[in-house]
Amino acid sequence: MLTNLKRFFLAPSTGEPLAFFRIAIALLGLVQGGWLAGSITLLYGADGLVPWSISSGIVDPYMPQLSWLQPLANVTGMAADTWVYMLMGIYLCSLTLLLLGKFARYAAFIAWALQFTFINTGFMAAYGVETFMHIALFYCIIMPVGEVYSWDTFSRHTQPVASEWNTLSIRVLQLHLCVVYIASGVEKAMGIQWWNGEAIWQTLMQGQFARFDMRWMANYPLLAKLIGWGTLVLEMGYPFFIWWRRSRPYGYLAIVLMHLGIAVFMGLQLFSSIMIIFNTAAFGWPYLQQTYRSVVQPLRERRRLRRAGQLATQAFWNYFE
Amino acid sequence: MITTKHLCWIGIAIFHLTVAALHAAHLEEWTTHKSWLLKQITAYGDYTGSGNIFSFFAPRIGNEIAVVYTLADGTAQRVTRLESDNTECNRRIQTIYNFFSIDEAQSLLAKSCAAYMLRQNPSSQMVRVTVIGKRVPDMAAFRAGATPKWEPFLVKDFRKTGTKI
Repeated sequence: MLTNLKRFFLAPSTGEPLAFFRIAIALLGLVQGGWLAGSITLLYGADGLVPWSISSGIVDPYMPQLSWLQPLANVTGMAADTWVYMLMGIYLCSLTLLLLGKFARYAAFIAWALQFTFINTGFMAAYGVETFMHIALFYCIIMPVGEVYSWDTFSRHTQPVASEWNTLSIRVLQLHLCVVYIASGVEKAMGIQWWNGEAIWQTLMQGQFARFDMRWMANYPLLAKLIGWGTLVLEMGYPFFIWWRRSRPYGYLAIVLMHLGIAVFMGLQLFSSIMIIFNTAAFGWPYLQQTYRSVVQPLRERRRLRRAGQLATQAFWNYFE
Repeated sequence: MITTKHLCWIGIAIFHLTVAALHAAHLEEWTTHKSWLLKQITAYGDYTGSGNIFSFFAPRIGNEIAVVYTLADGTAQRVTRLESDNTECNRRIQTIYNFFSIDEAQSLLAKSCAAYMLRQNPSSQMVRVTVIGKRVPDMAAFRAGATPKWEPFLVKDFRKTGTKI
């Protein structure tokens, strides 16, 4: 039993997937922050669309929230919203440090604490991407995400070292994703709309999601039904096909394509990106590496050879001239 | 060799994932009485991200909700909306508006939206908040000629009285 436990959780592996996770999450957080920079006061301001007076009354008092800044604003005489902008600035700086891998754990802690404060205050505006960003930043504190490809350990000659803590971290990511997908799939399966295709139709007909004119789909209800069933199979079957080594690459590809579909057809780019990041760090990194080795590296090699050939030809002519 | 440190960390990982699974299974709805232990588990879940439910678009798709504001300053009036070109911000405004589907939240949310609009438009003395829902017919009805309809389900007027609304 202990041997199996050790083999499953602690067989040493390198930290590259975790480094990818750190870099991609930090980058996504920066994109999100930049995207929302002009709407900070509307979404999180003291007198925003949902003001602090309302959010602080609903959110549990033990949860950090921006309304805690009010006494500070009173004492300093600075507007509360100025403090909100300052916190957002610190949040973005900490994400930059996390991206670079400089003081990665401390940067992750600051980013996690501030993101938690923002989403507690703006909980009414938060959706899936905030949920997964919170999970990801917490994992960036606990997991060894700064061991590879980071400022702190950067050297062209050092090879990633295999460690049991990398494997334990990846296992947690993998199992957490299984919980997420199976729960999401079961909840969908409890509604008739996902079985008769109406969920797909209703979603694509809503102006907030629709990116294309999808009225034609009403003439092909079987297609809507198949997409609905496909989603249920992918989500509820996730733990099975992703754990079986032979079906894993196809399962990973299918889930990535599903999220790309969500990004293209529903406009949920940030949410889709964070789910693809989670899936790639947990299961997809070997395939990404394989693709890099079999597609990108040969192309680079070919370019280098062509360049070497050109140089050799040039040297040859120079010699005879 | 598996050490005590290894076992401790595996135990923590299993505990964390168990909390995530329990929350995903709506742990907080299992009982109306919130015991001390449940409160601690909820707090742990909130802080670590293991306290989420994942009912995205489930079990059914709700109606789309939009809000139209009519601002008046005594001499003229204009109709406006809060959405802009920023799609990510619009997504969040929409998420806030979705709370209008909860009856108990309607009054407070309408007031808060009105207050925001009056603060953004200081020359306006009055705002009418009209909340509308989009009813999309099912595929069979659509084929038979039915079309999506926007229907108002909440109309509230708010007026400035001195500095207050």
